[in-house]
Amino acid sequence: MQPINTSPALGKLPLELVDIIASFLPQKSLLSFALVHSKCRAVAIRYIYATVVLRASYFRVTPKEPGKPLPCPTFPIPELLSLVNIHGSPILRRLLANDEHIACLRDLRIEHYPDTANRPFFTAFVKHIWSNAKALVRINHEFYPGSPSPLPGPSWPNTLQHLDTRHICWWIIRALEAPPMRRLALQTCTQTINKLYTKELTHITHFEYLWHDWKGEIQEFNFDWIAGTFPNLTSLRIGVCNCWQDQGIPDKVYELAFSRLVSNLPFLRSITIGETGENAPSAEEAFAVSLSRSQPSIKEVRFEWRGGGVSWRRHGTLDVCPPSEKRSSHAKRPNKKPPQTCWTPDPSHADRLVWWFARFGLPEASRPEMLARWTQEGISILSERKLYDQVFAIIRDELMQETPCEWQSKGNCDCALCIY
Amino acid sequence: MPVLLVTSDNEQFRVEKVVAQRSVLIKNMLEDVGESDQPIPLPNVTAPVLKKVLEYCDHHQTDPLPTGDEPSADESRKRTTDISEWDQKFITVDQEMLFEIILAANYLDIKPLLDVGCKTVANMIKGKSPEEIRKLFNIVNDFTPEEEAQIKKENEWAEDR
Repeated sequence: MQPINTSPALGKLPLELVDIIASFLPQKSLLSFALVHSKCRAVAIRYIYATVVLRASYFRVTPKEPGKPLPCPTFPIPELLSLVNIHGSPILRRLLANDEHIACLRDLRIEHYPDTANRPFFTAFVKHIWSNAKALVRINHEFYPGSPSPLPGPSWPNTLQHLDTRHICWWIIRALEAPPMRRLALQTCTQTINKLYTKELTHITHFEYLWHDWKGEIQEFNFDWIAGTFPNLTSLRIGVCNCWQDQGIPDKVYELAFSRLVSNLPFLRSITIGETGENAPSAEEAFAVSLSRSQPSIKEVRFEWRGGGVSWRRHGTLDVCPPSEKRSSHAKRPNKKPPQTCWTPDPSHADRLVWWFARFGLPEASRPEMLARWTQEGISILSERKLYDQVFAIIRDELMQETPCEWQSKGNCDCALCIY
Repeated sequence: MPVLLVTSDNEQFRVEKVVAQRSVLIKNMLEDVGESDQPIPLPNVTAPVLKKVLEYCDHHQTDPLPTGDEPSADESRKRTTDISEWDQKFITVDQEMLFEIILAANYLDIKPLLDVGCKTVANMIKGKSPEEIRKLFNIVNDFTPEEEAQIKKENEWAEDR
């Protein structure tokens, strides 16, 4: 590595160290840093364009020549770009205009999708971006619109290590099977991966998922399948939506389910349990000790709730205790407890629906309609399953009407829409 | 058992093994040679810098060692630039020494110390204009006015994100 110059201080550092310094700079400072020197720029742009969030609600394409029909979205991208004007989604347009910036992309998050008429063009452009994003490590696909358009296509970037999704189907499975994949974050699709996948995904070492009682079945409170599918996990995060309380599951059953799970994960070092409310420290400690006894490899048990969290670290053979310094630095316990999200009895159906959309990101366009329906007839809905069924049925009908699943007609689709 | 470290200016430091092993480089060397009284040469570190580095290692000797599961440099954009009170006092040195410590931490493979040094430099850069940064670190601008204008234009959209 060549130093920037021969002067003292920053100039003495090789680029790899300048890179580490840049990694700690916020976006605004990176823009200044990029203008300091050509080598600073080389480092800074790696971070300036490293993370991109695409919000394509207003994305649409129009033909460049008025009166002409839109070209086929499967045309090669240069040809497509010469035939259409892109409106909305300025970040997407910027990326398409500069291959150097695409090459810096490491974390791609897709938050909003365009309407179904424009979606094929959007997906074609996104595919172009990630097939040229040679450094892409993470894709956050959590806000998938529900329609099974085959967004990633058959080829995933071979650098991909981390995938956030809430939609498991064959093309996601294909990504999971690729050797670089290490982290998987699943939102609400545990049923599907459990049904779809029976082989072991041994290279995945970090797994996050939101356990949710959307089937209304107590027996799903069983995490054994996680160890069967991901036997080499070193880090696991399970978000729990208070649903065991709805179902009246005793704490002991809850503890037992986690203990049985960790006992089958011999490499597990840390487990995080996300909950909606804060536990008593004595309950946390008892739980942490129980997990630690079930799996000696565990070094840390972390509890997280809205606005805070606390880590219990293992010291010695079996005792788990939070060092006071660590606890205070991690805990950030609010003086007042955050408002509890307790749905039994249901305090407000409207609040619950807002929470649902905020958590799972169902299509923005459906929200007013859903809220209206909820207000009119949702009063009698008491279970998460009924709520989900109703919401999903309406959205599915809308989506299927607009874009029927192309795989359903072939009789081999496992996507969430068709399963339901 | 103490370990003998020899700096580039031939000064010797006798330190406890647990302190020396905060350096992954030294830890690996000790594992390679096994039980031995032989001094460990550190040709890239001078005595004043090693003294500072050992002060850090001594203070942090009971901290958990990095596991390798930490976020990579690529993920580190989300990392905080917070530095603990003791570390802040420790790293309050002149600029020349600061960069020597960073170089030594990199050579000796002491990641937490490297992070403290780099965070300190990052904190010095934050909120400053390009010209102020150049002045602070004695860097000569190698952009032409046209190149500078082009970069500013490129960066416009990123400013709004």
